[in-house]
Amino acid sequence: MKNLNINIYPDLVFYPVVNFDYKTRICEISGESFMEDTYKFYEPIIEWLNEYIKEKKTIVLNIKLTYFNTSSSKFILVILNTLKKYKNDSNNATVNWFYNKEDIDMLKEIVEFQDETGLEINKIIL
Amino acid sequence: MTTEANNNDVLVSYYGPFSMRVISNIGKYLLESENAIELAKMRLYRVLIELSQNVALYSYNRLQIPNQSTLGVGSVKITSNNDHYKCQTLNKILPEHKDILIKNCAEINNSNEFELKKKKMILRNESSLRDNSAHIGLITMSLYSGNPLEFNVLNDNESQSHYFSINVTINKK
Repeated sequence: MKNLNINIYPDLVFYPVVNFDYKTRICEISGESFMEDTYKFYEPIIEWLNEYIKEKKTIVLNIKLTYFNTSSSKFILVILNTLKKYKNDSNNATVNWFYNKEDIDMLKEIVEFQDETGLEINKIIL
Repeated sequence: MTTEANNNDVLVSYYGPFSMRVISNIGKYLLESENAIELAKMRLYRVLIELSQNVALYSYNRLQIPNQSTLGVGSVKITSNNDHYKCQTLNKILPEHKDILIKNCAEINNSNEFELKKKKMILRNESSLRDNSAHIGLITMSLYSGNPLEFNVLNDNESQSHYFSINVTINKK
């Protein structure tokens, strides 16, 4: 299985950088996410994740988003729900969400995702 | 984009197609040029993006972009005083959207934080992944702002057109 690296729009801040590394088992998404066509952007990420978890290997997801719009939040929710189910099936999944100390709105969003999915999210101050 | 001097408190005023290239540049300009606390600036940025995406998706006045879909056309104005920022958008709407917009905004203003979060969760789950909207933008802006949404539907009798105006206040402290 190949790594998933998306950084095709470095001059456009509304596309996040995605590095899902098959070898290290560390998947990272960083930057901002408010593109016009969220489905087109997130579809390959969801597909990659669904393929990866078939192998029942450990996964660490590092989220370093400083902003995501409400449309992107639907896909973050899908990713987190997928990992919650993966964990429930006795697999090893860790989610670390990095945020700025002053950004209490981001912290609230993380807690909302945690409450909604039931997935434990490590909240790490940058 | 036009910028004006501080004496009339207008930081940015824009009319045109709501492309994310344009809006993200306005947002970055505000983040870099304003001196408020980080949280207030981030809230302004997020409200600007969400309001703008509503215009981009739902404005009845649309511009065809070559080899792409259409973009909504409208206006955004950001003002500032010592206590708060205000972010206001205005766009043309279909007459049949008038009542639902008024109803949604009024419901949001009459809900507390717990109710808004619950509503946000329900609507997000009901929304199709293929839909470019999650239908929770107004709720999210209300949660960021902590202030009532100021909204209005304006009728232009001459052209038989309706315009939706929404104004979100972001406290600086």
